[in-house]
Amino acid sequence: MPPASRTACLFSPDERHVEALYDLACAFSPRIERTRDAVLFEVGDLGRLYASERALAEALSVQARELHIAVRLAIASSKDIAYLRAKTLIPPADTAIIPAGCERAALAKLPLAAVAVSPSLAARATAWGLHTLGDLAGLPRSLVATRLGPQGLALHRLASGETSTPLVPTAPSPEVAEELLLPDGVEGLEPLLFILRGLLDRLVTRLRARSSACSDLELLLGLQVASPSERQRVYKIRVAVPTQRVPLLLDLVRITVEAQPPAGAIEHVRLITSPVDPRPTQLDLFVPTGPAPDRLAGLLARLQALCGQDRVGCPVLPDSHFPSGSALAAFAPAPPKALPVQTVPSSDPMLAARVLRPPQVVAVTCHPTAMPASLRGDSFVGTIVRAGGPYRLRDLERCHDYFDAELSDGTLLRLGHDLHAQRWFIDALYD
Amino acid sequence: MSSAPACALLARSTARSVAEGEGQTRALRKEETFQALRQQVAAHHKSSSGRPPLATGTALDELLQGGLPRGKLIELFGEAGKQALTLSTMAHLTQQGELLAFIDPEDALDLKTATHLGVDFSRVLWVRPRGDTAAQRLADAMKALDLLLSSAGFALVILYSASPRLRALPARPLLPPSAGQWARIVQRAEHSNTAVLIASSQAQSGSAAAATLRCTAGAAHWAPAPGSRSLLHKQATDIEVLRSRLSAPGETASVDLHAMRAAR
Repeated sequence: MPPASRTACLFSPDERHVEALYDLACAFSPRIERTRDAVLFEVGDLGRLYASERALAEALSVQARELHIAVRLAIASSKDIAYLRAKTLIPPADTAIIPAGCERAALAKLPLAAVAVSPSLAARATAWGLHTLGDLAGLPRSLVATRLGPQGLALHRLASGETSTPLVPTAPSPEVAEELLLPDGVEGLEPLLFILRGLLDRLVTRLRARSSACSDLELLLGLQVASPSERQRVYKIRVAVPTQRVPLLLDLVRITVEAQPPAGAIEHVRLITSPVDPRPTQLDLFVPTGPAPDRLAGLLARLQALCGQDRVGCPVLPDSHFPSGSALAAFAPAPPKALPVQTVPSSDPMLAARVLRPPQVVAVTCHPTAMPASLRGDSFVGTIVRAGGPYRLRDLERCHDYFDAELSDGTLLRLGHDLHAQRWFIDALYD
Repeated sequence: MSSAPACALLARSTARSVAEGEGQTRALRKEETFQALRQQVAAHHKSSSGRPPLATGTALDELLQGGLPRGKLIELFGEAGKQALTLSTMAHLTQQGELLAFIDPEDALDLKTATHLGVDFSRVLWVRPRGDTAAQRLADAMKALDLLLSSAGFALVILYSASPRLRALPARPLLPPSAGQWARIVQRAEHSNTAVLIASSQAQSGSAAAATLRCTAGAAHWAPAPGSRSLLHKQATDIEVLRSRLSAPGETASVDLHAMRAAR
């Protein structure tokens, strides 16, 4: 037997909270209808998860409190009744559960004015001495239909608890945003971070309810400055791995804002993100575990803030014969593909060099045989006791002769000669 | 009982016993497989919990009783061979799937030789502090080291700072010589179970290092090449354990470092 149709309504007098209520409802039902001031969703099949509708209402209230939203909640057999009851709740009462079959009694004391009807219908009902829905429900339906037409008939059905308007599910918003107005203005990073912590808490709570994680963030700061062009500052915060960790997100925001602090007092803060699916991590029993993806993202952001965006990453060997080139790629280590080899054969150590980037230009005197005899530069002075080479490397733009040279103090270095520019340089030190 | 039903009964009974036998064999095989897997995992984690040193595939393994100890700081200083030992270590560890970080304040990593030795760059985080002065870059390098050790997951963090200068120039400390800073680094390394290798031209970390090794350059050998020219063939390097909490100091090893011929 299918579960009885039951609909919950979360009503908020503040229309700005409806998006947050929608996200909250995502944790309970996939079929959600969003209206101007409320969200409605089916809860008839939640009986296995919650012992009673009272327990379900309590769970919804707890979630709403986490988002700091004062919400009015009603559960009834149809969405119209649930919406009407939630809307007409008078604080401190914030929850109403209308059992099936008791709709008429539950709505009887509600004033007719609570229902959106045309002024002419309202005036006629008042003239007849009808003030509540109970008064209207007490009249014969055929009489109401004859005198008040289709609108009156629909109103009579509602007052009798007999409406069955189907739910019209609404698609979730592609973005999740949280904002705060600060009329007095806030100056300095620490107070701003305090505010952002609260906003991020709410943002992540909403994302969790949607079973989503936070991807790249956009932070908009409204500033109290004279120049209209500088009244809004936008920060794009890259989140390498979707995460639900507030401390990490706060850290990324702090690093970004610290790099370019706002130029005035802040009067408006808005955070926007696009929800994405959390990325599961499959660990292995044997391969070495690296840092957790979200922690790695935080670490990379801190290192990039310290050293620069283009100074942290994965080394890449450029496609060139020249020995000193280097390039950088994003550091995103994939898990090892196979079990680690127990004994990796050790390779013979190889003479390696410390590459000088950029090369150090030196003045070189040569023997009559064209081999270098001595050199002099800002940091390097010496007599070359032995030199090997040259070996020539060239491409379309460059043509260099390289020599291995040993100085009188035993230093081994790689000396280059740019044949186009006719200049000598030290390219690397064997180390 | 006639013979036909008896045969059918016997056939059914035989089929059932064969099926039961196959089922038992499959269950037995499955249990054996699980048992083997359990033993393998247990052995792996037993060895992991014992914190085996990181084998480097170089002479360091012998000098440091098996390799770079996890959670400890090892210092390598001297004139020659540091880069060669470091790159060989990186190649060996990345081939085993370990993640490494290489802090390079002088932006001097030899990518060509590293590639030739087999370093898997996708498992190396290359950090190149940017600063106007060497002192500023080194200060940032120490901060980066601190950050990397705060984030567990890297098997080895290498700080390579050998200033490219001639020995004729006046020597000066290359790394901030604050004992407190080194003590903090050691504490972080122990906490994150990450091995730290400091390579520089002079010993800097003092007693904070679990072992200090000195590399001494030997004679360079030159090999004749076609024509009248000759090329650098190899350089001998002696590695000596100056002080160590892992093994008796004074042990030495000699390594011949051969020049790469690929680009010549």
